[in-house]
Amino acid sequence: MISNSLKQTPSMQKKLMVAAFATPFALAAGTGGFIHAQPVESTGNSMFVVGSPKPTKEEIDKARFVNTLNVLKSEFGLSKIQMAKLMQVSRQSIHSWLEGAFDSVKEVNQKRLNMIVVSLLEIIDEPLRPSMGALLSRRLDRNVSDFEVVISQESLSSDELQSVLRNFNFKLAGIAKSNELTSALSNKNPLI
Amino acid sequence: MPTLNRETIKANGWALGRVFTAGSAPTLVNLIPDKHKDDDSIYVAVTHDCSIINPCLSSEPYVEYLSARPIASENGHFVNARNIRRLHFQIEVNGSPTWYEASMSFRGFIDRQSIETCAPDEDYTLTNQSCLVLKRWLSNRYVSQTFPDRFNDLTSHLVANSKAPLIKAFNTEIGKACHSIFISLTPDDQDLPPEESYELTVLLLFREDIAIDIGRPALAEFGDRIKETLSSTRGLEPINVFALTDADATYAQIVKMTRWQLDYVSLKDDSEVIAVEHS
Repeated sequence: MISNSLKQTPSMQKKLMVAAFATPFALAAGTGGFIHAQPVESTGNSMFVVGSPKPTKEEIDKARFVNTLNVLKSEFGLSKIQMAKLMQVSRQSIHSWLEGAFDSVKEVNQKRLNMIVVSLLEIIDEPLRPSMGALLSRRLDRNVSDFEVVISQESLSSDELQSVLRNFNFKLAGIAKSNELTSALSNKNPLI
Repeated sequence: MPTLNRETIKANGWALGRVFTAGSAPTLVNLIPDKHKDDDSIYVAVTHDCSIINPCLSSEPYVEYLSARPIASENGHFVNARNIRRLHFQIEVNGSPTWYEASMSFRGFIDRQSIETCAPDEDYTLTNQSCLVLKRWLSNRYVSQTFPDRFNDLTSHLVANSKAPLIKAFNTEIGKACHSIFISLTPDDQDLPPEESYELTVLLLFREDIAIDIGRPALAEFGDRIKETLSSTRGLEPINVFALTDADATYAQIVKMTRWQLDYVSLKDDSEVIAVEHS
């Protein structure tokens, strides 16, 4: 169960709204439906209309779930194994979800995913997000292991989650800087 | 072949970094030459953990020690094993962190035979961090740097004395927290003519827990200060200065750089450079 709801900042709301807005269009494209612009006579503007077959609520939820899952992959650079750890499911489940090869989403998974994505969007600075996967692969990092302990709990607490993420921006900035150093040294040979 | 009881030595608490005094180990202290003794001196065992408890006396006949004296305050130039000859490090005395000074010239070997009957002084404890610094300081002495003479000449005025710009920078609160400096030099194997410049990539390393308290902006600012200081010297062209934590830096990066012992070239006589106040 999810113990706390999170306050969504405008940027997080925007992200989740984009995912929600794009969902029917993605569905329409994926199911053979169509989208066309229909003129609105009184204003002279056009509006998008989704053609039949009209997606069901389950299909919209499903697509929204896949889109949110894709935020973890594309925006935070997480591997399927890392996503599986976060969602407490198998790697195969993540693979199936990303492929859309499932019938419906359990509410508990939806809520868990939303809490994780909202927490990450709220706490992790945007330019640093792509290095999140690299940070989570640091197995000896104490903050990462604390994060893994919290994330492995069946009952996820947003307060705990936010607490263990508090040093992540510092660490992610370090990864970015370290990558710069690696580039700066790319033409050098090892001295020992 | 004389042997010692390994378990007794272990039970007494002997290990690298354990402190002994005239009170806890009078027989050992009596063996220390007078030139290494002072009224307030304490002695740190710096023999490797395995060697100090070795039962075979003929294999490990000696205990290596360092004589250390309390000082009123630390000097940033001597902390974190930055200076190869002199070290300022903390020892907890009855739980209170106290600064001590050790010098490479105040160390020696004494007979290990009586170690079974002596114990370290429980009132003095080196923290894990101090012990790591101590080990690094001891090993640094045998790791030589290989910068071209021309580079050493160019940088010598930056580290010539306590008022020299780099020494001043490393004597600030953030500077003192920087435990290692690595440089990648281009070219790294030749003395350049006066009209040409060395390109530098500098890595300043900090312990992560300390660096988190300092914060990235302050670390970056410190890096900028070092870059500016190096830029002020004609012939040095710092391209990048990175202030990173131990967790940020990788082994692959370190092996492409050379550790810079700031004092190595210019501080021929530390005692003339910085007066250390003894309590």
